[in-house]
Amino acid sequence: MSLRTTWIACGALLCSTGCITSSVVDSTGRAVAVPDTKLVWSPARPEDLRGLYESVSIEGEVAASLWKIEYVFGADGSYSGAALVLGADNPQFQTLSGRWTLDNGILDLGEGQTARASSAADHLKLENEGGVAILRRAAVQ
Amino acid sequence: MTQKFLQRFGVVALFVLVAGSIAALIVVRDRMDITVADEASASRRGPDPVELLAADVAVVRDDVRGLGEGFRSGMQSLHDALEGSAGERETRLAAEVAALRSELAIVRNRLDQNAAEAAGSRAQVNQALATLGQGLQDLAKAVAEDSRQAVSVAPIVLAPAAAPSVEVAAAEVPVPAVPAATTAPESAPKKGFLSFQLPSQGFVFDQRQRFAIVSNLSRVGFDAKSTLHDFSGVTTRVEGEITANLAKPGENCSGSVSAQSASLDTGLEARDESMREILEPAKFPEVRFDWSAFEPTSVDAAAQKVVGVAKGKLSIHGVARDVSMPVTITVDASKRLAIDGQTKIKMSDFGVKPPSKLGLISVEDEAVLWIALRARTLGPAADAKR
Repeated sequence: MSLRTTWIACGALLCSTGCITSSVVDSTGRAVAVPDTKLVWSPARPEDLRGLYESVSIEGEVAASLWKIEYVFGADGSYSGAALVLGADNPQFQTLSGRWTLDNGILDLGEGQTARASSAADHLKLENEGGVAILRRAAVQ
Repeated sequence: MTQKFLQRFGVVALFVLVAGSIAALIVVRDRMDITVADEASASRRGPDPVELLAADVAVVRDDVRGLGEGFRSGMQSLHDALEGSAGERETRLAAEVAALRSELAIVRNRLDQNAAEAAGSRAQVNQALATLGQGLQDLAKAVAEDSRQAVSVAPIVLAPAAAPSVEVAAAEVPVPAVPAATTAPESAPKKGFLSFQLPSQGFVFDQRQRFAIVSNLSRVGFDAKSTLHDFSGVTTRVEGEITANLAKPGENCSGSVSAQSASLDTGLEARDESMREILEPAKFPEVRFDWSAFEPTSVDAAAQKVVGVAKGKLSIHGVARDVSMPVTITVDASKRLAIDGQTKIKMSDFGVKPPSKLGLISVEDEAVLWIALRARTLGPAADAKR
């Protein structure tokens, strides 16, 4: 390799550094993050509930032991749900079923279990004094 | 004619009378024993049966009278006995009632005393709580003052840039840490949430418990500098478990966190390939930190925040070295631990030669190793249950 070729290669290399951007993760952005979806919530309507949902976020005191929720709301007013709940040592699934009604944005799951229900694009938010669960519409495999 | 009739009737009547007598004699002849005896013989034959019968009747009458009197006497005795038993029982019941009343009075006195003592204790507890609250406020002020004065670990200042493409399994939306105003963990019983039955106890800060790393929400990485440009290597293939009491993190804190070295992603395939040649993931599949101690610098139970230095052995490329990593532990709104920390390491300390290309592009020996973990409680540790 001639001296001229070497200088050209070095020059090209130095120029290329300006084209390759740094890929260091910012220290404030190291935690896992999901795209910040701007959801606009409105009181849920019965047609919003029908289908299969899985939780993407559970907040509040209940989150200490409630790891995951899935619900399927039927058009006939029936529902079935499963939750991953921390038991004595390890999380275990709980399942249940019943009938649901929705009136003025209040979801009644029976036996006095109610929650304020809001909907956004393919999302459902259920909240009461115990916590807030945000569910995303899921596809049946 | 009448005289003739009377004669014939007299004859017939006489005849009938004789015939009847003969017939009667024939009938009773076998049943009749007629003895004709003189006066002396008659007296030797015994008393008159009629008199004997009368005497027997008199005896029977006396017996019946005696039985009647005996029966009357027995009934009287029974009556007296019953009356006596009832009286005795009544006396005994009265005594028992009196004893119970006496015991009840004693119990009432004790209850009154206990109520008075409880009232006194409640007042003492309230006073202690007020004192404790004041102490916590003072402590919070002192901690805030200290934190302003403390020399923090110098962060590595790097130019913000786009993060490398990292596989993000967004099963849960991470949320920021709870604000300082968060109250202490509640232990009030809950009936359930959305029809699911949940344990009565919520998140407990002051309890030795196990925490499992939530893999898809945790990241481990390093920041490296090179002559060409700086870069990070990141992986979410993280797992592990930590056992600690957040309120007393300096006591017997332990655990381990491991990341798959083959899954480290720097954003450039060629660079990843070079990194794998150096780390040899087939031979040393894990980058592992065995957490053996924690030196807290501040513990804020109200804010559920712990700051300190995690100590343990870091294993890279099969070489283990003691490291200390300043970390901050908080509890987020989803009651997960958020463990964030970083420390500087030298690759050469772990037998890793910093990569160099043609002597022109080289990576600095020093790198920043960082963790951004999310962990969920698995409940009280085994030794805490005892």
